[in-house]
Amino acid sequence: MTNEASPADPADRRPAGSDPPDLGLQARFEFLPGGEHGPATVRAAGDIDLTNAGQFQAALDQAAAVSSAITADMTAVTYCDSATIRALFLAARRARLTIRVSTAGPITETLLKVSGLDQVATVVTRNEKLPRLG
Amino acid sequence: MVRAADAEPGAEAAVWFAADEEAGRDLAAVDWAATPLGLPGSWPQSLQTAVDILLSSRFSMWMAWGPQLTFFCNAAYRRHTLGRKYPWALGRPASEVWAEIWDDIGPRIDTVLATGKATWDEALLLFLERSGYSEETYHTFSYSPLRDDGGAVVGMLCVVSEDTERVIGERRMATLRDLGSDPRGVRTEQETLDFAGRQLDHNRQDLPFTLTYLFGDEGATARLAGSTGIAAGHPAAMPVLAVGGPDPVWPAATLLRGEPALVDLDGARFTRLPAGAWSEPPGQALITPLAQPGGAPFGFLVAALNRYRPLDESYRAFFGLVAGHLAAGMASARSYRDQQRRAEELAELDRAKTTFFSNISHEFRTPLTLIMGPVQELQRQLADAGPQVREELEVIRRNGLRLGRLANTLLDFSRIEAGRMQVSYEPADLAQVTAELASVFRSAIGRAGLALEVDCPPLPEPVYLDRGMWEKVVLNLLSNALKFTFDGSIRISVRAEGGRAVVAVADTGIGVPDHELPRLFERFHRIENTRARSNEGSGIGLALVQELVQLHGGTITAASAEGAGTTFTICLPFGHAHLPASALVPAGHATTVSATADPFVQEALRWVPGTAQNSAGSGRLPAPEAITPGGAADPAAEPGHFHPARVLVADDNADMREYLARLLRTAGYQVTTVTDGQAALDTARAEAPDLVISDVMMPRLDGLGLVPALRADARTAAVPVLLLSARAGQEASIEGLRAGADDYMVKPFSAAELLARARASVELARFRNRESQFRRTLINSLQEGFFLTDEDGTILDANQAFLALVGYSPDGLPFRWPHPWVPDPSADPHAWALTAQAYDGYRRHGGGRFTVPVWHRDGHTVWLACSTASLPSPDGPGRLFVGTARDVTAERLAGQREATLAGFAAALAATGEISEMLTTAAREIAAAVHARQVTTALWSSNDNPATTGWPRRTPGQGVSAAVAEALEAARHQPAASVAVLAGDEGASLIAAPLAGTGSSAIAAEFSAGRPVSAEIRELFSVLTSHLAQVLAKARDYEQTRAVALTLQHAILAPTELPHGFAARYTPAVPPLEVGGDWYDVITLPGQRTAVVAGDCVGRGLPAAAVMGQLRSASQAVLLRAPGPAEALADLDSFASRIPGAECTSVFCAIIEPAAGTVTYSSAGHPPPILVTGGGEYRLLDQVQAPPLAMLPADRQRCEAAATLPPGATLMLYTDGLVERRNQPLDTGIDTAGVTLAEHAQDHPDDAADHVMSAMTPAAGYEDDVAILIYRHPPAPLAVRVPADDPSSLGLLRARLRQWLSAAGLGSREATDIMIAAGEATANAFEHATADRAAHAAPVQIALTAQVAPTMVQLTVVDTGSWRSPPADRAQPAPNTRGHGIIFMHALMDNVTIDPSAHGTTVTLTKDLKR
Repeated sequence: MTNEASPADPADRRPAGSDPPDLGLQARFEFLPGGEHGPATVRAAGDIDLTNAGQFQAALDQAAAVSSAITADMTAVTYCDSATIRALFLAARRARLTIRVSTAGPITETLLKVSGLDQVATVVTRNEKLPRLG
Repeated sequence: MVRAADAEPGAEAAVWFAADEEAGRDLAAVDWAATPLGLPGSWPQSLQTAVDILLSSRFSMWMAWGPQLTFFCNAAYRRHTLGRKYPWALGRPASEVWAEIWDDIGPRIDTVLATGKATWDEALLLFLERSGYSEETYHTFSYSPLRDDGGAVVGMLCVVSEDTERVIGERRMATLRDLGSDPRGVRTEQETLDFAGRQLDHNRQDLPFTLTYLFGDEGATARLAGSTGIAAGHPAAMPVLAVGGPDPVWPAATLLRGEPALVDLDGARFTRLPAGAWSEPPGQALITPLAQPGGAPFGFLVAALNRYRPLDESYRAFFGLVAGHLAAGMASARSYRDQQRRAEELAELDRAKTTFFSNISHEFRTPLTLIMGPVQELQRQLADAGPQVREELEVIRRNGLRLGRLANTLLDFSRIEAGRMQVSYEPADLAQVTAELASVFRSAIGRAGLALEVDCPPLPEPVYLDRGMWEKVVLNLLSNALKFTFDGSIRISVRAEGGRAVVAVADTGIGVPDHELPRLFERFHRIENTRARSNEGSGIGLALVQELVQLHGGTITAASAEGAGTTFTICLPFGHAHLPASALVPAGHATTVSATADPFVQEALRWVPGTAQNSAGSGRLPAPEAITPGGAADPAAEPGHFHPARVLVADDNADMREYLARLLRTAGYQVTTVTDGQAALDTARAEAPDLVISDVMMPRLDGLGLVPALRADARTAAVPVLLLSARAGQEASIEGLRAGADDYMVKPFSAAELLARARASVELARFRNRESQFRRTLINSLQEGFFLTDEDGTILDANQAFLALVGYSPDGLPFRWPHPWVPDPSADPHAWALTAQAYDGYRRHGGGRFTVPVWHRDGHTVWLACSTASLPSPDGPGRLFVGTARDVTAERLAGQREATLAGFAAALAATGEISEMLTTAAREIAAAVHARQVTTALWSSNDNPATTGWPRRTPGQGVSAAVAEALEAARHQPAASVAVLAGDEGASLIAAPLAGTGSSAIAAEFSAGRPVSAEIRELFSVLTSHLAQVLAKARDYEQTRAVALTLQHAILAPTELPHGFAARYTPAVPPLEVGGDWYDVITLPGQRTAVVAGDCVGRGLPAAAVMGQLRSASQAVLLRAPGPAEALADLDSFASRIPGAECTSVFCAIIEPAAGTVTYSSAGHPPPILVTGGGEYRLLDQVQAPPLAMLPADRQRCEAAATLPPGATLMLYTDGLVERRNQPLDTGIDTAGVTLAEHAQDHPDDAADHVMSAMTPAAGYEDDVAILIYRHPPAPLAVRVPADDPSSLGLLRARLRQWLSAAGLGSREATDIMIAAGEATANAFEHATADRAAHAAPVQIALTAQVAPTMVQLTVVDTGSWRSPPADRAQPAPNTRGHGIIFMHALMDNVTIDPSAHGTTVTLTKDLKR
């Protein structure tokens, strides 16, 4: 999770006028039941804030209900706050949690360390850039 | 019956059914209390025992007990029979369980119960409903009584085995067997279908009805060709279907594609369908194509399905086999029909031919009679005339006889064919008759130098003969023997053997090849290419002999050994029992040999040399006979030529030979006659005649073979040939001329015509000869090689000089393509390819220049430069080529070396890295010296060299030991030395050192068996020497480049820019990746920032060196100088002292963000672009001054200033960005300005990418390009949103995100700020929501943000009250809030929270890197 010097991080740069300013990035939560090919996975995308952290929590609960090991794929998340972190903490209490994050995303090493999330979950960092938004 | 579901009597009752776990469990679950039998615990011992037996048996069983015949069964019965009725059936009355067959089995059970006697049924048909439909099943079973404890019969036990599969399988097999039991073999199509129909009709169980349709009219219609089980006229049995028509009864179009179809038989046209063997009509039909191998199906079979059986695999397979049988039957019927038709056509043709022969023979006889009569009369009258007259009359008579014989034979044949032969059998002394016939051939045989042995002792009883026919038999056989026998004897014998007369005619002739024997008696069959005394013959004699022998009830056989002789054996029965009585005549009708013999003997005599008509020679083989000219005037002789023209006549017909000789001799020619083509060839080669007149058909070598043989030999190539043939027609004549004959005449011809043509040919030949001599003298005098070829490349002529070049003598002329000096394709494919290319080229383009390698006869390679031109052939339609050839071997080798070296050097020049260069070099060298493999090796410090080569090896693939050794040995050799070594398996190796002694080497390996010539060695040496030089330079270059890159990285630009800046640098076209352009950002005291862009003259390393010094200098002077003008003035004096720094253009500016101004000065640099918002841009072009060190002494650097409004964008650049050929500089600047303005709101990095990509020329930038973009801090952000709508959070984030981007913050800072601000606003929302009731006014949340060069500051203000954070701030309980504040503190440098009565203000500050 050390990619500070990365010169081009497009995650939070959006060309002017390409997006209506009154809309956040729509969040999506996708639940993949897993099975032979992997653990139950919740794939989150977009901005997660207090308006939709409940949905994220529900998706994690769904995954934890069917599997003792779940993965929260956060690599497509563009914004998250402490509500999101809280949801992950709750999920880590119910199941063995793996969090997949991107070096270009909002869940930084600092955030993980400060919250202590890295002590209750396995963090897998993908050293990739997010697709240019907009 | 109610099953006990909730209660658990099963567990209790399970002990009673323990014998079988599976069925027992289900039996235990039955609510027995509801049955007459009561609970299992109360059952009598006999019932318990019976159930126990039932359950323990693996055999399929069921039983019934008690007044209702309560049903029990075991697991086997369940599996085999009960199907879906299990476990429903358990405990129910048997009559209910088997309701559908109770009529069948009820009476049987009654009998058992009444009588106590067991029943037995074998394969009884029962329609069970166990699988959801009424199913045809067969069962073999026995019902036995079951008695209670008192001995009364109270139930029954059924032991059953199911036979369904067996019964149905056998039934289907029987149908298939019947289909295949066709007793008559081939039949017509209809017979085949009728037979199949009868068989299919026997099985109305599996095939309730069938319809067989055949496609006709090329697939447009399908016709009903057969049906079973269905009445004609039923709507389902449409007689004709239109394929692909609308709503067809059957989907014929699908079937035409060969796909089967399953059709539901519902709808109006399928009402009242016949039911076959069943009571209900079928519900479905399967339609199967009748496949035709390699074609569309013949048709298709519609088969109604047995509704009582499932359409399972075996049922489908059955239909497949039925359809297969039908299709096979159709195929054989059609093939039979085709053969029949062909046979009929042939028979018709045969009849027509017989009629024709019969007619023509009759037609011949009339004129023949009219010739023979007068000729004999003339002979008598002119007995005293001159010898020539008598001879010619005799020729007429003899040939008339021959023609008559041919006509008679044909007539005999046609009579036999037509069954109209008049035969009269009379008793004859076979031995005597045969001996007499043989004797008439004695003289002819004797003259041929052969012995005639007649061995005909008297026979015990007479043989019935038709004398005329028998004469033909014997004479034909003798004549045949004489024709094919050149040494030894002909023997005729008669014997009585096995109750039959046996006549044998044996010769010691050439014999008949084994494979020809079976066809010996076939009409018109002639054995080709056989040595014979004459090529004359119709191929009909032996066939006639066989027919005639068969008319006598006899047989004829032939035995032969090639080279040893042939024996014909005739067996004739004695007596006349085998002959029709009506054809018998008394003996003594004829006594002596009839006139039949005369033509045979006369003809035979003509084949034999030494007869009266053929005066010269007595040898076996016809010898050339010289006939001296008659001494008369010589009309064929030209004035000045004192010897007469010599003509060689070749004909196997003695009459024709003599006729021609006489004719030509009379005309003054000197004539030699021979009897076949081979003799003609030998004679002509010995001494070339002036003309050859030859028959086409001759033994040994015919005329068509003679002509090319003559043409192929230089000595006879020019001799004109006149072909004579009996075969008329344009085709024959074309064939003759194509063979190379000069003229072609069809018999009969007139004497005058022959002489005219002979004279013309001789004159032409003599003229040609004179031309030829003149030409020969001329070309031999040429110093250059000269040759003449035809269109096929055959060298017809060549002068001494040419022949000396290739080392061949003129005796070899003509030299056919490929010439003996053309390189062998397998030994030297490259040389062959060059030659073949030249060959094709000059033939296609009608001449041209080419240089080819040739193999001199003594083995060395000579390069010939040839120049050819085409000219029309004087002899015919084709073209000839004349060419000259010059030996250019020496020039060629030198030129080749140069060309190869030039190509090699060019290929190497295009490479960059050393490894790439070595691979390229290996490839080029392999191609140049035609090596199989080239390997290079580079040694660094250790003993294992790095190898590369061509063809490319996969990584890890080693080098062979021989190559490794060669490389190791070569690397220590002095430069340019080439060693030739032996490689693996006979391959040759050459190796040489490369640059730097001991550090590198190269080896080439050649195909096995290919020697390494001196030329190759030399070429290899030249190429490797060059490679060595290039390699040395490349090593220097790589070192230089490494230094340059290091330097570049050291001096080019700051790798990290302060926030708000973005830069791009693209060096000039590779390989050198450094240049003279630069940019710089220098942080100055007092929150000022200096920006610089510069461009040194030149490119590459020298420019980069100058650039580095100037850049360092500019940093130093800017830190000191009060303004840009002073800085440039300092740089002027600095540049004047650095070589190459003069004329550098520099732009220099100092930005004061707080004041929003930029002060700048320019030294001949393109003006920067300033975008001030609103899509407008302007140029910082107020200072126009010369480049560094070019300012006149009386002028001073000056500067100008511009205002930077919030969010303004400034771009510095070097001229490589905007300068284009054929385009004013302004155009490029304008494009850059417009692009920059379009992206004035974007993050500077994005703006930089857009500018670079918008400006990139199609072929890439030609010059170094540097751009530097500065984004002035935008106006502070201020957003206010209502707190009662959580979606406001998204809006706040969007605005903040956009603002951070425009402010040019780095991604990490922006992310941190986003999250911290998000937490603050989320908190604000929660306050607002919590305290909503307490406030009358709508709660608002306000976010403000502003950026300064060193920090970003945000405030979030709400009108609610702040919630205290939890006590344990460091590690909050996970399910509580509280991370928010921790995050803010962690992510920001300063966080203040100011709760007040009117609301809370959170201030977040983040320091920025400078």
